Amino acid sequence: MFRVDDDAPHRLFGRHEQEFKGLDEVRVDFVPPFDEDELVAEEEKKLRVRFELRNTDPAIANALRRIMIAEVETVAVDQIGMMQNTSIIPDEVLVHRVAMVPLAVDPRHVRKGEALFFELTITCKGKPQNVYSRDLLFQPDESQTAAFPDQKEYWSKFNPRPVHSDILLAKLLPGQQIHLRAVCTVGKGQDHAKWSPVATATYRIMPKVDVNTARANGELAQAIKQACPRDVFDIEDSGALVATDPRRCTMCRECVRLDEFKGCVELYRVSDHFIFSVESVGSLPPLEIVRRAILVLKAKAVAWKRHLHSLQATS
Amino acid sequence: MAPESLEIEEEKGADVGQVGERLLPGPADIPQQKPSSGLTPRERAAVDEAPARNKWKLLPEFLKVRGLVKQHIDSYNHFVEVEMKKIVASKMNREIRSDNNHHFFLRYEDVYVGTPEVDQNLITYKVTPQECRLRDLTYAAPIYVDVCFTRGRGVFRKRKLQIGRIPVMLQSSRCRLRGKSVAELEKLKECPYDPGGYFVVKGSEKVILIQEQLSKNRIIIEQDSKKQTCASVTSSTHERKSRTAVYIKNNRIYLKHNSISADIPIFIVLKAMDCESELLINYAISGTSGIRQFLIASAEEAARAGIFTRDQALEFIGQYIKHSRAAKRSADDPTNTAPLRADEAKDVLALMVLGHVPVNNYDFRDKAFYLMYMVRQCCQAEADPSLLDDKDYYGNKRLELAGQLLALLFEDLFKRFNTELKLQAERVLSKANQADAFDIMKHMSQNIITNGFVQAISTGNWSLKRFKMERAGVTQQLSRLSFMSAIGHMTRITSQFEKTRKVSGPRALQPSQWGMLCPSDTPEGESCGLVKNLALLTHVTSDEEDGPVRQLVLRLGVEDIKLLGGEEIFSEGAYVVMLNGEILGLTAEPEVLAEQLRKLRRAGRLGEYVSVFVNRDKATVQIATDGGRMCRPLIVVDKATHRGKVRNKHLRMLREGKMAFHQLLEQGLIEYVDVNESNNTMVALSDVEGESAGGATMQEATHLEIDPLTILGIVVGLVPFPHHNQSPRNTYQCAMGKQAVGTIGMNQLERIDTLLYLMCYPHKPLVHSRTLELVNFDCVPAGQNAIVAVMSYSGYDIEDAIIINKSSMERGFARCMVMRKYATQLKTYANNTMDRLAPPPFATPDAPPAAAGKFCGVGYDGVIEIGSRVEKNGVLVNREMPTNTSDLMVTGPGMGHGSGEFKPSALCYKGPGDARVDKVMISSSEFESHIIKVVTREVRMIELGDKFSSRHGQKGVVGLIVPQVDMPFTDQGIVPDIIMNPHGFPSRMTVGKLMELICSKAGAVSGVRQYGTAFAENPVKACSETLVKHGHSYHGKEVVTDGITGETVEAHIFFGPVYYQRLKHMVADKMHARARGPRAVLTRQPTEGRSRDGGLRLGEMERDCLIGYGASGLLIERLMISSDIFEANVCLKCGFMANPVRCQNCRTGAHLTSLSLPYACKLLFQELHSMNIIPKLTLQDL
Repeated sequence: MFRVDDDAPHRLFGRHEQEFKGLDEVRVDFVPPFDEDELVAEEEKKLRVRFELRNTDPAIANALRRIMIAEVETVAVDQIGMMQNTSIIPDEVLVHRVAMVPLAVDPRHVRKGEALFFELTITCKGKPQNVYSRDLLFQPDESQTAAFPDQKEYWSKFNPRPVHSDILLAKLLPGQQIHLRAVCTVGKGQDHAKWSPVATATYRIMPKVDVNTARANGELAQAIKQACPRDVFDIEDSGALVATDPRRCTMCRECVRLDEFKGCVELYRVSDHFIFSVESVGSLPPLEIVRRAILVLKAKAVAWKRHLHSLQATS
Repeated sequence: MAPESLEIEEEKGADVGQVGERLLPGPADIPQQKPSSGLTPRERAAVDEAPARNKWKLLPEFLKVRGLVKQHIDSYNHFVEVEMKKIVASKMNREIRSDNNHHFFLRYEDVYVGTPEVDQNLITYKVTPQECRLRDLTYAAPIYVDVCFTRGRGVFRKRKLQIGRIPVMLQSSRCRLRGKSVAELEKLKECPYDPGGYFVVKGSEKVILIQEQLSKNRIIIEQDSKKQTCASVTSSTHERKSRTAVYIKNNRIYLKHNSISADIPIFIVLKAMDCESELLINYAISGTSGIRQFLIASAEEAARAGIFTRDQALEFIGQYIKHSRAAKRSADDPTNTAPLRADEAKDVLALMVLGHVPVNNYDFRDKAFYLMYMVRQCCQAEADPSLLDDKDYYGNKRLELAGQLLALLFEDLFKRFNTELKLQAERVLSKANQADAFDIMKHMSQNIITNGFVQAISTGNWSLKRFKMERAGVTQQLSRLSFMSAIGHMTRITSQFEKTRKVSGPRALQPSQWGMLCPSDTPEGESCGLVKNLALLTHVTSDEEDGPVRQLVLRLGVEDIKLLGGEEIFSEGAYVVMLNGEILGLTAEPEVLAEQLRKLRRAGRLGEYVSVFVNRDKATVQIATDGGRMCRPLIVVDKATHRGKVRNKHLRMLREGKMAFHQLLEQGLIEYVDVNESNNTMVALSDVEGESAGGATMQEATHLEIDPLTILGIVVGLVPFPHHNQSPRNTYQCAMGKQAVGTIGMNQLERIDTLLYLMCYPHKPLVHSRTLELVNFDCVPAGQNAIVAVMSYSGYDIEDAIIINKSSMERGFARCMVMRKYATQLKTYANNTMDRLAPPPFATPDAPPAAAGKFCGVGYDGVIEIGSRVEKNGVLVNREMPTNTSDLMVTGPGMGHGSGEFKPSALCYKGPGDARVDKVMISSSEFESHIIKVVTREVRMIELGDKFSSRHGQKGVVGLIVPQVDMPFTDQGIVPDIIMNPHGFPSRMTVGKLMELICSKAGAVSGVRQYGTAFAENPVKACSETLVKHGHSYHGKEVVTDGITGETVEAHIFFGPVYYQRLKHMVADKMHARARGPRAVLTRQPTEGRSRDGGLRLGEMERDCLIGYGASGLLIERLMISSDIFEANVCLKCGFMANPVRCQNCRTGAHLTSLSLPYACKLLFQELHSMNIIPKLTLQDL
């Protein structure tokens, strides 16, 4: 538990004083991925999930976050064969841009040792032309036919393609052309950011807003309510200030900044309550990312457990 | 007010950033006019007449007509259009006559410069600057003359005769880029933002730096090296330059001149100038008793020397003339035509002493008065040292620009050209019988002038013996590290002062520099304060005709000096009126005169750069029309209303295009004020109600500043909130802004430079300034808005090191490209053999190039193919050279296809590896038929040790690259790109950086870019409020969670975007280590330097440490075994070194033993031997 004062957040208990809660007590609640007042496109909503994780340690929450960013596997462009590039954009930069394009391919569908090939073949005729991610076309490759002769039929079920069709990759003038072949493999975000399945995977620690009703009433209460940009407070009929919706608090500390507000409000962070927000880049559904992250975490725990057992056995 | 609404209001009225119609409109620049229909005519009139609140909007208008480097371009244009014609028309140059044939003559009637062109195989065609850069040509235009000359008996006239070529300054009146639109410039492969003002000579871009000098033809009262008070003048006219000084020694006054070998008592000089009466001199000079003592002593000295009359004085001076021809005169030889001593002295006095004061028909009156004026000044200063002039005062300085330097060069070359012609003429005409009539047209060699220009500009050596000028480093290669460095280069001023002298005077910031020179932009180190930069609006004047001014001044009631006696001149209340340092006359009402002249200037009746300065201390009115003065535009304040004359209506009309900037000048709303005249002004900052007028109140103000930011230079414009930073930090940023990797111009990918650093994804800064808009920095940015967390992290951030987010880096943060040029030529040798390109070994015409090895990617034509990867020492151009390049070979020209006759001399890639070929150019230059340029490209991510800097002089190297998951994150999930240690702040006091962060953050959350313009309103409070509105902390500090532990960090972290520059110093270019490698031939010690794969030196101090520690084994190992160990054979008997079998000295091999010693030691012994010093080696067992 932290008390967020105007000068700094202060830890209220010693680091280890907090009792470790068993995993059995962990509670997960799913909440709407966006605040009511946010205007978000329908499509974008599909990419985001928000849930609350309670009764657990920061270590668990952080492990989940870290795994989502760095250890959930995805498919991304790993190598590119540049056959022709007469555009203004240099090979290396184009390659980098292509590699950053998220691909709608589930890494679980990729068989061991298999690589996916995408081709981009474009020649500009007539007017200046843009090259978009949709021009990257899945192209089963001959080099794979020995190991995976059925590649074409197999992947036709899944329709491998870039998630977003309108990512600008290059611009061409008449006569310029680009021809490249991208080799996509399964990888993890820890090796390169392009394999990270999330745009953001983060949590914030549950805010708690305590109001000293003895002080915060009347005009002062009005002033504090006005000061809060997030409408956390309301005024009761008695004229006292009340924190109606602490979840909305962004810890901007406006309610404690001014001298006249001193002693009215206290802000806390409840260290066993985490509000997660996961936004997928689109290659995997956000919930799936969470699920796989938990599986990775579980596998790690199991591996540790096994390791500890073996240590016990030897000693 | 919230910044958004503030911003919107600003945007509507403004059309900032459009410098000239030739520039691309930036995104924010689309002018949207405020609907004025809402106002009644009366309200509108009131608004129109109100003082202009947004005076700064004059800046873009001003720069639209001026451009950023007008000083250079104007100076060059003045040279080409005026000065050049004057030089050719001058009496000494315009005619060539022969001593042998009196009928012969060649007369120049006119001279003019064409447009740039190049000769290629007898075809002349127009060139573009870009073609010159690529093909190593000179961007030069022909100089044409109209001549009248004799051939035989006839007189002929020829027009448009080319006498040579002169390099053309880009964007000058002769340049092909002049007045071109953006689309046209693009077609010419030219950057539309490039300011021009430089030359392209032999393919490289050269800038002629502005040179700072003491002004000519002005009296300067100073203490000379012997601590004597001295009034000196450097006279400079077209014909000659000389220095005259009057000084006081032992209460006596002397004249010193560089063509008179001894110092002459002043009374003798004055007597020689027709002032024979002591009384008259006394009257003329003095009056006051303080001065009389010097005069009495000086008069006495003349009398003691027995000099009383003019003839005696002349005779006396005649004895001391240097290089005297009169001395050679002898009575015996009547044919001797040498002049009399007295006549010679008279000539020297008339022409050399104070040469800028004209003397007609030996009427010395003016000159004598001038001299007496100097004497008086000198005497007064001797009595009162506060009257000494300040040598560092900028009113006493003149800037020499490209035009003036080129004019000197041209005069010299033109004279050489004429001498050469005359020599040719004499050679032919002296012959008794000529076969044909002498045709001088056949002897016009263009090379003298053409090569002279090219040589001088490309080497920077201006050595003109004729003008006693010997200067090196006048030109520099234009720095193209970033767009800012190129612009900064064009405003640079160098001083003639020696860099080694440790005096602070000339280096210190001078108060008179205010508004003219940038107080921040100067390098650190040896040239600190000597190299300066022009402020934003400074203009440097060109020479102007002073004749009309002279007449005007006399008509305005100034009493002509010719009609006055000495007493009047120095009487109380009489002000001496001087024009360009020459005494014109007297006035009793200096202020009235000045006011009248200024009124005339504002009305456009006088040149806009003419300056009038009333010096009350010295009781003079100084009028100046000469070139090289610094001046700047100011808004004139209306005396009646005490408001600036520029009103809202003018701004509106400018905006609507109904008025041009020059009309403001013509109508006298704005005027140029030079350094001297600044002393007569009171400049207020603002005339708007409620805004501070600055030091002067509007009641007393005479002028109004256009904008305070104009006291700074262009390069400081990069710093947001510079007025909140500690001053040296702005200076540091000025140096670093020039090293930032970014965009160097819109044509950067068309260019082939030796080394080019480009950034892959540069950003516009979130916080920008008006200055940046003026230079279109948004279109040629250098840097990125990095999210910065100011916190301590990991300990790898001490000493200004920064932590970088690995994922940011992988996503392209600060990624840059390094383009390097490799060039070679295929030469033709004296024996007609030629270099050739050869296919790589075992290559066939149809097979693709090799995929690996030394010849990887080299095509059948012997040139590497575009896009192929090159490795260290890989061949780029497989050139072969004939083995025999000197003898004429039997096989004859065009031969040499046999393999034995060629040896390989390929062009190889030398970089550290993993580069690709970006482009290949095969062309021809002026001298070589084939030049091949290969550009390699390397893309670089961030590496540990790469250098970064914010825009506040805060540099740091990358200390650690951290995975994203380990980075701290905010409640919104934002992860920083850069973590910076907070210890960087307290001692540096870069408050501007804190403000930049807050404003950037507010800009980012609200989607509106903020201004951090110098001395402008402070937007921080509004920005903080915007932050709160968007749910961030007022102070910009976030509550963050540690990415490693997952817990809240127990401090609020200052968190937000800051514009960071990646500097050109990268580890990849500097990293060096070696285990073994090449050794120097002479000493056999390891070579030195990274480029030669050298060793790392264990120097004296390191050696001292090892000695102190007693590590003798290590010493031997480092200094001998790992370096230049040598097994020598020594003869024990004689102590000489011997060959392995026999001592040549003892003629036996019996006493030989071997010894290990450093080769350098052996070398020393042998060298001593060769000098007959015999070091003997005496060996013994230990």
